[in-house]
Amino acid sequence: MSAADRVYPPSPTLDAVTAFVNRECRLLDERRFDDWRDLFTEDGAYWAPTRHDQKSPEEAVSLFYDDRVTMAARIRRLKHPDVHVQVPESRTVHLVSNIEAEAVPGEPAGVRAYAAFVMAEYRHTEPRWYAGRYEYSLRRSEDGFRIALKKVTLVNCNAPFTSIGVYL
Amino acid sequence: MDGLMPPPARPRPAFTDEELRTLVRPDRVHRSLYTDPGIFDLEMERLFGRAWIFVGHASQVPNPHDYITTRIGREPVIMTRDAKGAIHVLSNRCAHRGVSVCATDSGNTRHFKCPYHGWTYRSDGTLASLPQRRSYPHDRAEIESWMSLARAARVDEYRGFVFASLTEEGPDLETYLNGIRHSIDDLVDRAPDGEVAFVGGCSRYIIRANWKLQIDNGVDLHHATYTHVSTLDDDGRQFSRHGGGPRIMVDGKKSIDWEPFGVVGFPYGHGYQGRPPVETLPSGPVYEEYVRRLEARHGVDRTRQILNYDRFNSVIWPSMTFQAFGQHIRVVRPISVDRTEINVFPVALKGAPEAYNTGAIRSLAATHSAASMIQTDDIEVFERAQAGLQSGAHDWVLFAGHPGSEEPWHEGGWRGQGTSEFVSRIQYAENWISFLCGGNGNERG
Ligand code: FES
Ligand SMILES: [Fe+2]
Repeated sequence: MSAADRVYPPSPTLDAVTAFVNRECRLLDERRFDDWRDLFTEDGAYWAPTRHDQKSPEEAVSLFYDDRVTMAARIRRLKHPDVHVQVPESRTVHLVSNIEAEAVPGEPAGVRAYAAFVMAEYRHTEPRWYAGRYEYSLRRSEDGFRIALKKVTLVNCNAPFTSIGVYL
Repeated sequence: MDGLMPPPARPRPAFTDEELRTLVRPDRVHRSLYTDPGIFDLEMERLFGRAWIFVGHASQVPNPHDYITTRIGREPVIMTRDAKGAIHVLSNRCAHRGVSVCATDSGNTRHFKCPYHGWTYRSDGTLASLPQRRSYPHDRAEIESWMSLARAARVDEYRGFVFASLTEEGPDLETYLNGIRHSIDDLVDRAPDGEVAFVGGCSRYIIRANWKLQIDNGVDLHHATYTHVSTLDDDGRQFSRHGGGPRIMVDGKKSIDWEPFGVVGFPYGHGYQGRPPVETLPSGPVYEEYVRRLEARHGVDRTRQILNYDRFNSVIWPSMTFQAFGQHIRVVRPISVDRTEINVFPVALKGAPEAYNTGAIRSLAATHSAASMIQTDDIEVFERAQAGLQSGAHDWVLFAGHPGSEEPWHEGGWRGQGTSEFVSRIQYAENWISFLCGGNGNERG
């Protein structure tokens, strides 16, 4: 099977992936962080590298590398009244587009998905904008998809950033 | 060859020495140190333009003709290694009309070729080729002096940490670092091969605040109770960092007593925080293998000494802070009076198991990246300080805690109670004011 053959044309799978990604981003916008974390597999991770071609969170520093344990710590903190970087809270909206899905050879339950995104964030002073690409390693389960890895590569991932208080 | 700096003195400085001296008292500084662009200009000229400033680590330019670009204060510089292996700190500025000759963060090149008219420089900064040579009747000596890249007046290194001073005057690096070199030793000795390397990239964050807020914070232990309260479990323990988990509170919201942990300060404004209470020290097979390798090299007793965790954050004033145990360096790069870039470099211990070093790289995402759970709280506090200091309701920023109670310390310098603010007092009242008035620091002498 060539790579081109693995790409799902408009199909129930692509529709399902699109709906899943849209919901995943809406959970972040609604700050439903526990529900969002539940989308990840037990060994799942959320990763935002600092290099465009970064292969792993061990090769170079990352903006985020949260396994489920770190996610739980971050989410617990986000609910704390004194999480200073979220006073006031961020309001965000994620725009997700250019969604593609492909099969993963040798992994019947695996689906890889790609998307482009823009996130607008407003806390105080001026709004901030982030743009980049999402890459998802998804696993199909009986009750829908689970995320094994969400990789967020910002167009300016190697730039210096002011504080990022919420997930991208 | 011409020195890189100092630039010609301003015809009329924004502040006279007498005016500057009214802004600094033994236990407080005027808020304009954080808010006045004229003060910032003077800091770049007289402090970053004179003191020993951290430029980079030798491991960032391991091979002949390797280079990195960075800044010393406002001066864009290239740190290179030449064909013979010597390190140079060169001005990233064409001697012709000022175009920067290197536009990338790092790389390897024998020649820096200016994109404007093609003047080309060797990796040691000397002019290698001059197009339109015949239009310059100047002799070789002139070409070698003012037609080459300017260079830092002094460059020196300590265990691979390269510092530069843009003036010929002032103490040598060894004198300048004095007792804080033990903190560098504390980091480098942790490497079984006795060497460290900057190999895990660089995490960069921007603080919309004055650079000194980051430095002040580097010797401030007790802010953790308040600034980082959201990172604690109900039992007062912070999430694990690189194998160790500090407990910074007891009984829910009650602060721990920071005093016994102490802070240490040295001449020229350096200092470190004593170790906060760490309950969970690293463990597991990777750590055990790491300890085995240290013991194979140094024996059991010396290894125990090396691994003794006695200090948390160290500051080399005014340009860097670092954690030996956390295996990272933070470089403070002032941009403007209310904007600062911090570059965080993970540090690999040569000879340690790879997984031990990659663990340090990984954990920085949780602790010190722009999206981390610890640093973001500090950044928020720094930015709120910048906002608050716009107020004229109080003119002074206070460093008055534990006046005069510090005692002489065996590494040189002094040790104070954990919440003592004496290290900041050394920085401002003995060094900042000295440099800003044209001196070379250490007014106590
Ligand atoms: S400015 Fe560099 S060659 Fe002219
Ligand atoms: Fe802090």
